[in-house]
Amino acid sequence: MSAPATTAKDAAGAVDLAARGRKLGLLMTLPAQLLLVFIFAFPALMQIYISLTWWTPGDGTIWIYAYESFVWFDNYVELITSERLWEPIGRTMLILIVVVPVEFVIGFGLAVLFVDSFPGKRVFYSILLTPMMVVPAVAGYMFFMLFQSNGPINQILSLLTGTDVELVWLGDTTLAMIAVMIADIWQWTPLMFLILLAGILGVPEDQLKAATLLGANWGQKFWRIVLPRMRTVIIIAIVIRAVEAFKLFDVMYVMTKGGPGVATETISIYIYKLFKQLEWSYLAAVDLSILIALSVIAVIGMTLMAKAKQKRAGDVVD
Amino acid sequence: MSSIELVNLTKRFGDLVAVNELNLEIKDKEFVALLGPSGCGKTTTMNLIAGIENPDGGEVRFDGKNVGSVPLRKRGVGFVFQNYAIFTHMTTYKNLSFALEVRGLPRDEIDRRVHEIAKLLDLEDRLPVPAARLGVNEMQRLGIGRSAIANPQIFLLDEPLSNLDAAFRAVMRTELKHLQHQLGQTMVYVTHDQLEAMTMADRIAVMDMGVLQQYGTPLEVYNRPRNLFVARFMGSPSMNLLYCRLTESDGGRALDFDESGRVELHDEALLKQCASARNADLYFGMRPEDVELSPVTGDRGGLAMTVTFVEHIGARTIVHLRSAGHEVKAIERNDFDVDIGAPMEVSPKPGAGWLFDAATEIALGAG
Amino acid sequence: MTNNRALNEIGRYALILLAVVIAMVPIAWMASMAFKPVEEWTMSAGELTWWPRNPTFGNFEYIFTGQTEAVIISLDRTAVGPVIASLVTALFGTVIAVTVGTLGAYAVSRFKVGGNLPLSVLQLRLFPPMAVMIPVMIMWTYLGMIDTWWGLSLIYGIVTLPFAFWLMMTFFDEVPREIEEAALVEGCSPWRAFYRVTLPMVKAPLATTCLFVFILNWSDFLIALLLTTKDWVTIPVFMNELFTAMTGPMYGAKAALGLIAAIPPVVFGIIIQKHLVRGLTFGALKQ
Repeated sequence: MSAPATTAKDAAGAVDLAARGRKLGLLMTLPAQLLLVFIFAFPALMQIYISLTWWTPGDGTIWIYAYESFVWFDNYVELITSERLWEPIGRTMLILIVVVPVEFVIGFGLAVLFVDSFPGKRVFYSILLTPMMVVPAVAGYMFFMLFQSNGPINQILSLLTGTDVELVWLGDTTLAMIAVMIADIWQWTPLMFLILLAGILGVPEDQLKAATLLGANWGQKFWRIVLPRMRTVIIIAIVIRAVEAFKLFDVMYVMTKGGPGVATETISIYIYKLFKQLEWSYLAAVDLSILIALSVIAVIGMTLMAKAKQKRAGDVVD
Repeated sequence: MSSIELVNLTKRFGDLVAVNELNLEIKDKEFVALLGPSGCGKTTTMNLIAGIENPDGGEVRFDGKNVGSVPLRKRGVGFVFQNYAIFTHMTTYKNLSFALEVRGLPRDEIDRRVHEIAKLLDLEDRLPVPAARLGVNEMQRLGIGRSAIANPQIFLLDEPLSNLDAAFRAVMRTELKHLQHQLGQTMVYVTHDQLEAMTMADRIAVMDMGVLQQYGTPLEVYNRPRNLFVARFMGSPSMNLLYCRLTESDGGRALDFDESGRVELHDEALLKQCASARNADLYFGMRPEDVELSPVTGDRGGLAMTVTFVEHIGARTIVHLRSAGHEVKAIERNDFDVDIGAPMEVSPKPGAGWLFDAATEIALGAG
Repeated sequence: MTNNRALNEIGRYALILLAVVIAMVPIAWMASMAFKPVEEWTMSAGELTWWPRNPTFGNFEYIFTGQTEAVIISLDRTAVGPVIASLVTALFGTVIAVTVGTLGAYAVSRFKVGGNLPLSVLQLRLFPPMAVMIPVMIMWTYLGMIDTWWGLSLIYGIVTLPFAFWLMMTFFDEVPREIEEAALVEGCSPWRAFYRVTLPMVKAPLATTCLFVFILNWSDFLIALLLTTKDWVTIPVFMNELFTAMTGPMYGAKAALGLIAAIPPVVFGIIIQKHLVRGLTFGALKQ
């Protein structure tokens, strides 16, 4: 009755794809695994190694010999105690705290506007997504030009206030921060818009209809139905944006190079400077600390995304 | 008091006329079924009553007042969706309390009423459970309870039983009817299942292509269908419709079925119908259970047909017969048996039979 | 009732138009600068104009040929090289990321192997590139891959692998396994089932993934900044260097470059609009 097993079958007699393809699967995942090892293992080990030393390329020796200047955990101690690291972290957090909520609110507002259909919706939608798709380095340059003291922003402000506005945006510590924040908000609000719109549209329409029939007004529907059902989406949007914000480099570098002075020096720019200054062992310690902190976020993120997937499968939202 | 009146109600979607000059009145506390095939306009009609859609023509009146300008959330009708649309991110309790919370009622009043209705619907022990985890049966009751808690006088249900399995459906039918009596509401019920409509409704509105076909009690609609559509739609198997011609015969009227034979008309009701016949081409309708089969003798005045198929479905037997140009299904007792190919004489039971004008498809005497 | 509705509509359009204007202003400014001749680059006459008074292609001529009238200093290298560099490295980076990612994603989706991949691959994306760049730089120097197209392409492939992987995995998860199982019953080997049956089915998602990854690679700045020095500098890096190499800001020239750099991602982005949400959230959300 059953032919010699040319196909692996499970108890029910159906073909078991997973069993048959096991060898092939291992082969197919090999490149990815290799790349991962390549990019994780070596760098991690190497960095752990150098972070425990005082080595810099300026020593004239290859990194392998770094053990000649073992200082154990001095780098880490300095990391935690000195202000050198905390300032850039503080600035990055400041930017985050301002930028993310603003983008969230504006993005949500725009998303709400786009829920119903109206003539020209697709065109407007594409246009509003454009800032996100502009090469960040180029966007940085755009705003560099805009914020020149003899540039368009000042021109517009002059028109609006009727006076002659000649702010030196990129030369003033506070103004530079603001300029950089504006650039970020411009570039990344579309991301929030995109994600939140998808979230809103995911709210089942007939539950909203049912709510109206039960007497709910717009506000009540929003707070009791739309928002609770969007909880996972909102968290995903914020986490993704926050993580990306940490990596901000392109726009900042092109606009201000971290200046004036260190006014807009975020973590990434700070690291870049350490790099240029050849303080590589200290840098390694910094890197590893960041790696550990971000791994925690990774775990959180994964759980959330698994939950979102689960939600799509069976509608139990908690 | 909550009667519903639909006056010349019309709704279009582009070129499609979903509801066409519908006139319908539903009495206070009446249970009316909107019955018809998919696309006949029954759901649209209900949406118009609820306010989910706005009419392109005509009016919807509650207790004589036009409610066209009343916005959806103020209409005060209960509505149960086909898929219940319960709030799956809330508990059963929260689903029930929603309508009251939204109106700003005090907490203890809300609590009291939630428990009251939960008890009525046998959901009390499920109150803290997330609504998404309820069984289909419970979800359906929740769907009803959620609307009922606000004490709407009018209750609209859109095919609420179509998601349940057959056994359950039967149980829910009686429960719904019971509930309607208890809560004293006017209920409008959309369905495509004629059996459901028959068992539950006080009156049935049969619709097709946006037009009302017939409006009457279940027995009226079943026994005296106003046109061929209703005749075919009601009953399972549906009414036998045989094309024939009205002729004279010695002393009276007869129906000529061509080669199949000829039937003398003696029945008073049928003769009365013939009086309003405008031409001779007719359809003769008889329900399968009203068909009498007997071995061919020739003196019963029936039609000569041959058996083509016999179905034994347990409680009864369905016999399929055919002759040149005509087909008949007859329902007999479950022990009835006959060979395929056997000739039989087919005649209507005394008092059965209903005539239709072949051209207009309308029953004779129904105008 | 209708008055209210009309007011809402007007309000909606007003807000959207405001957003559109804000979205377009920086791009418009750069576009206008790209076509301005040298004289109009700064507020020389005391007037800043949005529309060039004498629109010209001079800037484009300049960056691609190294000279144009009215600009005294000529470039020691034109933009031709960086454009090619961006194209080549973005392309090959995409090929690497998509190939490795697709193969891996399929295996994880169908064969229950490599369970660690989704999470590990995701982590790649979380860490600031700077964090791994030193070891990478050292490795690359060791292997002689600095300032080479294959060196840059490889790191691009690695860095965008997470997107390719996750995107394709969610796409594969949507194809029912029965399809391959039917092929197996017919006598296909798992590889043939993949290659001849599944792959043709996901042509569109594959294209989407390619475009998405290409956009990411093309838009890179930091990695190219670190790993290239001269020959294989990409457009963003070249653009940045123009400043430091010349005297005074070269607004028009850099704007022209910026415009060229910005167009492909924007065009591709609009093409794959529908799938952006999926890509950016690693498949957690769909549109």
